[in-house]
Amino acid sequence: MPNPLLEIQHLTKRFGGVLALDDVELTVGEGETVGLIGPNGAGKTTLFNCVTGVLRPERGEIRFGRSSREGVVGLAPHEIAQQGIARTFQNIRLFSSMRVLENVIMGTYPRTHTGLWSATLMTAEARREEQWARDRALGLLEMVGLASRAEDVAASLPFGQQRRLEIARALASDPSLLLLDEPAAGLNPTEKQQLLHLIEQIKAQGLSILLIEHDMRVVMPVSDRVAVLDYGKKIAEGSPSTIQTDPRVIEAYLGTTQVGPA
Amino acid sequence: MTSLQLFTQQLANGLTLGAIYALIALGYSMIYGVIQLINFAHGEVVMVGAYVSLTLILMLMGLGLPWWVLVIVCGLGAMGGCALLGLAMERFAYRPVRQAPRLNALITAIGLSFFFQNALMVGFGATDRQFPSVVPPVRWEIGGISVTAIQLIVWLGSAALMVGLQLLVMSTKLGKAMRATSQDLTACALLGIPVNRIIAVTFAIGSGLGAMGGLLFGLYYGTINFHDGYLIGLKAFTAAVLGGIGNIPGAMVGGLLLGLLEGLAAGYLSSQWKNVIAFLILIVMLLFKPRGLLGERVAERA
Amino acid sequence: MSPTRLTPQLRWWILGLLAAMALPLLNPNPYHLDVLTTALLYAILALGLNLIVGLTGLLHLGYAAFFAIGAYTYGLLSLYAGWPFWLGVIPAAAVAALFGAALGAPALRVRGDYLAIITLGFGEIVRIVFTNLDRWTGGPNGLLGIAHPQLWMPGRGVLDFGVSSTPYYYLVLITMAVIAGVCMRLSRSRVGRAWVAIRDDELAAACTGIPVLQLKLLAQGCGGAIAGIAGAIFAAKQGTITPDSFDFILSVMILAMVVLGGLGSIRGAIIGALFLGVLPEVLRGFDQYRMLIFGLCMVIIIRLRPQGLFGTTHGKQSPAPSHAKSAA
Repeated sequence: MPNPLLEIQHLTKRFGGVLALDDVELTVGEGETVGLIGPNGAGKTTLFNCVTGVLRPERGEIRFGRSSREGVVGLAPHEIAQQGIARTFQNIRLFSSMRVLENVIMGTYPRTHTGLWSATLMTAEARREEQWARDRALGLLEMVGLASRAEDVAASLPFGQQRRLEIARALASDPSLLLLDEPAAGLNPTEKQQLLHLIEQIKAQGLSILLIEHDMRVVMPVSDRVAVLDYGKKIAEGSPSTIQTDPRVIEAYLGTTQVGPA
Repeated sequence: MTSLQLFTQQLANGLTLGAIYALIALGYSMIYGVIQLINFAHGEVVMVGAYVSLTLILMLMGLGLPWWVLVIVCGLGAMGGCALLGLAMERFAYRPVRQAPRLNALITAIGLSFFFQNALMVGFGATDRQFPSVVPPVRWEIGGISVTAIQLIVWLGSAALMVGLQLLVMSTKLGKAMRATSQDLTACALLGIPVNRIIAVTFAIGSGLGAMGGLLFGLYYGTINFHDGYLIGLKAFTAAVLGGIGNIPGAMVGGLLLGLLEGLAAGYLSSQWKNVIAFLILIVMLLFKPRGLLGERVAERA
Repeated sequence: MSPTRLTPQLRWWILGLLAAMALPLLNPNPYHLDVLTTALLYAILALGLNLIVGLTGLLHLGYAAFFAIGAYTYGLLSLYAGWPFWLGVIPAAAVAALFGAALGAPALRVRGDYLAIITLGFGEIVRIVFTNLDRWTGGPNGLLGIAHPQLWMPGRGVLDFGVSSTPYYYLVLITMAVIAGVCMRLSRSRVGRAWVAIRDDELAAACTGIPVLQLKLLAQGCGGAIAGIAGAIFAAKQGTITPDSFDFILSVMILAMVVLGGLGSIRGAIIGALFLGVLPEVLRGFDQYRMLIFGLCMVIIIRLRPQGLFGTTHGKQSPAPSHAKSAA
């Protein structure tokens, strides 16, 4: 069992009368990829939102960190991002008026420091940082296969490429934990293969990944463990093969998604 | 006059002003409710209503009609005219920019506001215009407080219109469609509700009510100026926010409350600072209770 | 941000600047120069507001207040403490910047439309306060007798700008050029990009590590500072300032300049300002109908070119709710 990187305990979130998360417990270890599956509305994205500080849970602790694990509940989203958690969004949230390269450069924000004065005076430090950010961004675009579109406006990219761009942006801040929210949604089979390949590359760099996905052909091959949410509760957790044959999981899905070997 | 009587007098005066604000605030509230636009030109629509009713009154004055018939006819005329104006504004100025960024609609509204204000100045002159005293100058003394016939008209007229509007919105099919559209326009469109028509009707009704507010304003204060629209509009908008934007009963409550507060401020503080009161209320509301007193009714933005 | 290379674009800017500097020598008509000076002053204001509205996407309807604060700060320092212009312009900028950020802080927690109304309200309150604090601000009559800028010219002694148009023209032109340069640097820097990110998608920006609140305050502070500088220049030029010069109409005009020029575009802000600044003078012949035509122009231009002259069409600036085109 690798060192825990992210520890979620007793996570509870309410929306008015609806209990979106009910005493959820989850751990992601260093270098681990954990799949998070469950029917629509099970609370998966809500969990992401709690981890990234977008939502404030009613109850629960979320600890994150390599050496010392700090509680992150109550921190602002940008502070949590600075600590090393990056994410993508279900509905793709790019900076649509900016160019592809600029979107990825944006991701390096937590790792750079150029402020108002350094920027205006264009100090050597500022120029150095700028160059570093550009180089890093270009490298990531190469990794996701978008280097040729670096100067295009982000909004002009086709859907599949926009997804890859979002992942590149998330990787730019050199996170230790990457949260992917349904990265395969809307992709065609070829693109899904490319996505799998990309996830493998990310894993090879030692990042931990928490992956929300509906398509089992994407989740199962890359996950070390899979957790299942249904109506806000964790109903099962285990290795991919265990989960696939778990009767509770099958019942929760009731044929809406294929559950079975690829 | 005892201090209680003074207070109650200010209350009565404030309620009159408040009723006028309420009618105008409804226009802001309803329009914001359906298309999330702060219709800066609404204040000018109110003034158009005032000037049109002034013109009608002057035209029909000599016919020897009983005064209440005159007022009602001119009121309806002004309302109808402004309803058409509202329809035209929606169709030709606002609808084309509905898909554009919201700032564009705001610029359009402000441009229209300049346009109408200037048009009124060109058409009716830059000096104050007097409203002829068609309403008999009757006052009643009730417990030491005086209430004029005009005040009574304002109360009754605005009450009638507000009740009518509530009935429309709550009990008719049109009203239901209006409420649905202000909750989720896209869903309504997908369900086959003719949203364009609903929005147009909302503009017409809002402008009509505003016109009535203009007429009552003219009757109550006796003089109007092309420049009044700006301040009145701002205050009525404050009232709408106070009650909860998009919320029809809220606009009524907000209007009455603002009128009361302003009346009291003018009575007990200097009248110079009464305008500041309105702005301060606005800012405090927006900072601490942006949803207004009765809660806003606006579609959730993605 | 690439180092300032001599790109073709930059070449055009320098040429334009040189041409503008040569203008008073070719056509010394003081009236024309005065109109242009005013338009260039508007351009400075537009550049400032562009940081707030154009880059960061904050709806601001009370910008004239910071113009006023800058003007009154210098005016008061000049009248009561004898400060010369070149010194007084600094606190003018600083105080306006402070107010810009201070106003911003509570207001930024509310929805975009409400920020607009709060800024509008604040603008009005500033004007009303300046009108009513007779003892300090001279009330409706304002401040009179503010010192003009004085410059020591080698070999010529001290030159007081006085009331001639030419020195002010150069002062405003050069200030505008410097501020435009700074804005350009900023917009291409980490800070400027972060502002645009906030405009495009605030939530994604926050999750990407951008301290949204801090940067919004920074934008408002910078915008305030620029308005403060413009205010000080205005006060020094006019010698007399009254609260009526800083009304909502002015705030709206500056906003219109930024929007018509294209949100976020430096070029757009300057050209939009020049256009709308000169337009009322051009329409002087139409006298009564000026505002009417002006308003109509606003409506038509924004309709025909929604992104403004130099804006992009790709920004995601929360359009009004869409509806299925097939609906009646």
